[in-house]
Amino acid sequence: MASSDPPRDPHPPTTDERPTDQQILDYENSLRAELLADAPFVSELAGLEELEKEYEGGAEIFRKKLQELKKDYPIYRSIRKDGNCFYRAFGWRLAELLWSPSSASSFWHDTAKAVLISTRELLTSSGYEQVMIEDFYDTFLAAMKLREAPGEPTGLEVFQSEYASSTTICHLRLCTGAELKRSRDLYEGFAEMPIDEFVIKSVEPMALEADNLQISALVNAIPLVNIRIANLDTTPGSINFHEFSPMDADAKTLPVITLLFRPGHYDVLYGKNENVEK
Amino acid sequence: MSNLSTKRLTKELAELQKKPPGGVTLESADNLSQWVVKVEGAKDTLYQNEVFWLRFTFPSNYPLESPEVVFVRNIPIHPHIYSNGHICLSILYDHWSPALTISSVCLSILSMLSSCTNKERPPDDSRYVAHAAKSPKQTNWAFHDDTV
Repeated sequence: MASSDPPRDPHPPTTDERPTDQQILDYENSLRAELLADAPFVSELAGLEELEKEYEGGAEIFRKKLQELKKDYPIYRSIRKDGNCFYRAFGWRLAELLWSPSSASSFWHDTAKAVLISTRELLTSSGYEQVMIEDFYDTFLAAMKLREAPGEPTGLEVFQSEYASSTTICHLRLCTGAELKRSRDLYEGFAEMPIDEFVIKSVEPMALEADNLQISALVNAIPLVNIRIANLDTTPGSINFHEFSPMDADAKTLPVITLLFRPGHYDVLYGKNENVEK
Repeated sequence: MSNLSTKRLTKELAELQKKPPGGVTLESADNLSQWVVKVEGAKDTLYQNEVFWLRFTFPSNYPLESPEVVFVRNIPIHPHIYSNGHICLSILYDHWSPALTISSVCLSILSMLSSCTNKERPPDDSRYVAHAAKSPKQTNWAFHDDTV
């Protein structure tokens, strides 16, 4: 550099000391990208020891709870941390149950097929336009291996493809929204706003995490499984579980999906005797 | 453009041509990435007899990602619409959902116009317009009041 050049200020002063919106968004996006870099949407199976490693040197209570959890749920699968993890975990586990050879000829499988196929009517009867939802619906059925179309992903391929897996998540979000609207009297007291507004702000947008209300609604929209959620938190005592069962089905006859919850995130847990896809 | 996105836009195009919602007319859709839609101010509102144009620009992963939507040519005077055409409406950004369509977006914008009681620009209009990026999707919006 020629020494006679006046030094240039790389950050010329602006009239405003705040970072620009663009800088804030870029920063947020870079954080998100870092978080997501190379993380698969649905990871391979891993032993709970892997999870215990994350808490080495951490609070005693987490280590104690994980040890206790490991006795009944020795295996887990981590799900990408992108705000869609509850829906992704639910969709994945449901698919695994449907794909499992042991369920193929069961009564549950037949019911499941009928219920999932009828989700199109669930959505259209709640006011979603058929034209707009059918692409999501088709991909969702393909993910469950209930539909095949030449050249389009099926089963596992759907969960591995960004666009296709996002559309299945969208379908599950719309099912949740449809159930909330269909039985609004039941749910309205728990939402802090009118149900239609809640659906627009907290269910339909992608990347917004599900809370108890969305979980209850999805279990009733697709009444095929019970959901059991292990809470890994700092409350004293042993690990506690939240259970969600569909209201109008004989819950005892339904399979159970178990998830691990840590604030803001869900992963899938597998019990000792559960059949799992590799 | 992904397959699904082309499929969806083709369907929306057909719907908009066949049975557009009241006050909404597709003006041009020369390709599958940018369309212009004409919207007419509703009767008995402050915008009666006024005509505006919305430009939709679709990202390659539409409808998973929101379209960019701005007013062009004639910008309505409204507390949530900046004079550069940018619109402060949460469904276009944070609350975008793949369940929304071009028609439903146009209707939301028309309803935002219809409920306006005082024609004025946003209080921070000149400051915003001087610093805003080209696309409103690059703004970090704060949504104060969706009811106006």
